[in-house]
Amino acid sequence: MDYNEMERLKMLLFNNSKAVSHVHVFGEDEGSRSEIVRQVLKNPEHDWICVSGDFLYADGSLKLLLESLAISLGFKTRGDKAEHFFSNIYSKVEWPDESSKKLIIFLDNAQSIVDYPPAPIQCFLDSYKAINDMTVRFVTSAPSCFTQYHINLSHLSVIDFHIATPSIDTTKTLITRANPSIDSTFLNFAIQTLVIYCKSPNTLLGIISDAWKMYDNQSSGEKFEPTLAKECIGRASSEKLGIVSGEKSGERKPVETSFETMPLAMRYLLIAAFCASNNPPQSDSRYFAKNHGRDKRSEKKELRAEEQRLAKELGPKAAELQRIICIYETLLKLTESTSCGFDLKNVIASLDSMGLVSVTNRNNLDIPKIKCLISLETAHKISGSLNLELRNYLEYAT
Amino acid sequence: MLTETEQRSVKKNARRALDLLDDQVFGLAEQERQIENIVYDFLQSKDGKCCLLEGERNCGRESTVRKVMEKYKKELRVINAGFVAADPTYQQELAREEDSGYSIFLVRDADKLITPQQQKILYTMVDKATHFSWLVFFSISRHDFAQNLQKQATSRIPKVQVSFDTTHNYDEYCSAMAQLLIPKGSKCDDDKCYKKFITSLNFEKWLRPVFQTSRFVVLKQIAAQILMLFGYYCEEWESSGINKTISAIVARSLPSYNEKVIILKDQTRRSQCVFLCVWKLLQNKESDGPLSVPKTSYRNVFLEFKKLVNSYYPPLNVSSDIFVFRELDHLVKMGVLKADESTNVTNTSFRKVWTQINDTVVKDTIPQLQLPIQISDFFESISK
Repeated sequence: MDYNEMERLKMLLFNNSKAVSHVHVFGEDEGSRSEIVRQVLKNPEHDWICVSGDFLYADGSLKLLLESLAISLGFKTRGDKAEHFFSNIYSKVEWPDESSKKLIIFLDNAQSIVDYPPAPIQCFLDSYKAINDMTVRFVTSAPSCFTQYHINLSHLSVIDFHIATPSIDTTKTLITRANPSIDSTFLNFAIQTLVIYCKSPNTLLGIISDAWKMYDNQSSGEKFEPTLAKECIGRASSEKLGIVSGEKSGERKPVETSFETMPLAMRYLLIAAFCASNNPPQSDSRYFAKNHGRDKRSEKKELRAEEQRLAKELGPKAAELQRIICIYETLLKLTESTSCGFDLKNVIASLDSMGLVSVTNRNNLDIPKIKCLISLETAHKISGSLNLELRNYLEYAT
Repeated sequence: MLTETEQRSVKKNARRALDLLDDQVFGLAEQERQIENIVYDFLQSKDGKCCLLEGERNCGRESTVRKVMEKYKKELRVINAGFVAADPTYQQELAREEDSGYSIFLVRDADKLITPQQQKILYTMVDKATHFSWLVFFSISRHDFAQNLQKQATSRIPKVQVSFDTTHNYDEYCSAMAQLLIPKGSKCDDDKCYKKFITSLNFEKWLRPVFQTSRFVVLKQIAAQILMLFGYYCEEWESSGINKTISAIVARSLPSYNEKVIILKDQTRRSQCVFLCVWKLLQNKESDGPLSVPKTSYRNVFLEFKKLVNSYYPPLNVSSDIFVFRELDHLVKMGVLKADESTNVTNTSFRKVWTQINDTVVKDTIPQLQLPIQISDFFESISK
């Protein structure tokens, strides 16, 4: 935040007029809006008393919230009536200036206001004018604007104040302060590369520190090497930000090993369930019967099918057990593997308990319906571990 | 540029005006007269009476009553009906009120009392008004309050009503602002230097958009901030700096101020692209029913994002759909998008999402986001 913005925030927070009854500070968490407000309120101007509470801490209980505020102000609450709360404040708090009683109530995590019963909260936030001699100002902080959380209170004349994420220069200063060993050219380069993915100074500090260590170890001389820097940054950030660095995108993906611990039959069954759930029953013969691949559809038909797909509701549908077992057997035949000696229904029950499929129609045990819940990416990974090209068996593969 | 003495004079007068700001009320002279008549009649005859004060929130009902009370040096006892509605045991305490010597009451938010149980308090107050000879003002903001009263209160419904619905034109609005900044009858009015400075602000020029959408309370808030600036926080007294600060203060009350657009502009480029993918997918999509908005699934957004990345802007490529889903979740948290809460959490790919910002507003915002040309081209092209 620059100086002018800070001054404007102070003009709102410490304004002498009652017309400014509620200031709501919003913005990304990276902008550290709550911390900024707390620091401003630590040094109050013009004889204001400040007290902080937290909607998230009080967890939906207005009584707990008022108690925490009362304890901070130095008196005990006798019951949970909000009106008593304000008259208690009026009489029991030690005011710096008895003739002008001014109180700022800062309530953090205002997004949790949705957990509170609306009517009492409305009364509480309305009661800033409960006592005429006392000026009360509410200051709340949340990621989004106030009307996002409490539509009932939209009639309140809340003044929104946006705190932006730190600028590139501020981020540079913060990171240099935290880790002075990073070279400034490298830091510049790293921030410019990463800022389109992430603006959080903490995350950037972690990634850039790791990347700098790698770069420092591998770099040869005095001159800055952009390619090496890019590679180090790519490697350091791939886990946290999912960035695919330039060279890697052309490579073939290695064989997926993450599903090796899952039993073979389970994997095949899951793929079969996925195919059954996402393909319409009529297309089964195309993909899983003898004439696979020989049935050609005209381009017109394909376009129409595509339009229909876009118009229809996308999502897995429950499929009959019979279909799944047939597809499962076909897949086994295609990959020339066998598995026998156990009941497939047990495997399905395991998958159901793991939450990977859901079994509906439990009333009719003869024809249960099974819906596969895994995502396409997961299915691809599993089929990759089986050396099966899933794309060939899906109606709506992309 | 002001001299040292002029600056000091402006500061002093701004502080004075700020102290007087809260007591200022506009355009309610007629209502004040009516209330004064009612109070005068009551004080003369000591006949218990009830009166409805009807008007929008923050329109000045209480301030007017207090003004009249000051004239007659009577105390005003305020009851918050809002607490009664929220806490049913509260009214039992109120019902036990005895004649404690207060004779003029103001019941705030009387229209919050909707259920028969809550309306009992109205019945009690009205009853006691006649019994103990009280004067009770009921402050409401709904026009249909009388129709919604239960039978037991209807017969005692106050016949006297003072309506605070006033309309005003732009000139009245501007003169109200002038009065807020230079209160009549105060020392500020006598100080020529201060008056000249305030006139130089030329607020008639920029107040119009505020007038079209906002009420007096917003005007008061703007005036409060301006006076705070001049009274305590102004260090650079040249006009360009002052005008800049004032436009920042006023910007929040303009119709063009959209918090969600501000949040969108503050996002990372990847987040903005994900948002625009959602917007693009929903542009020509029909909704499922007459009452629902067009929605799309997380998976479709991911596919659209991949289209953008593969053909137009490779640096944004992601190694897994998880990262796009995370961006979507973040945009939902910031209120820029809205997502289905009810879908099974393990099934994130199929969760529905839709936009919370108007289409035209988004279109106007795209040039302001300063995206690289390849990205803007992708979003400008209309999908088949």
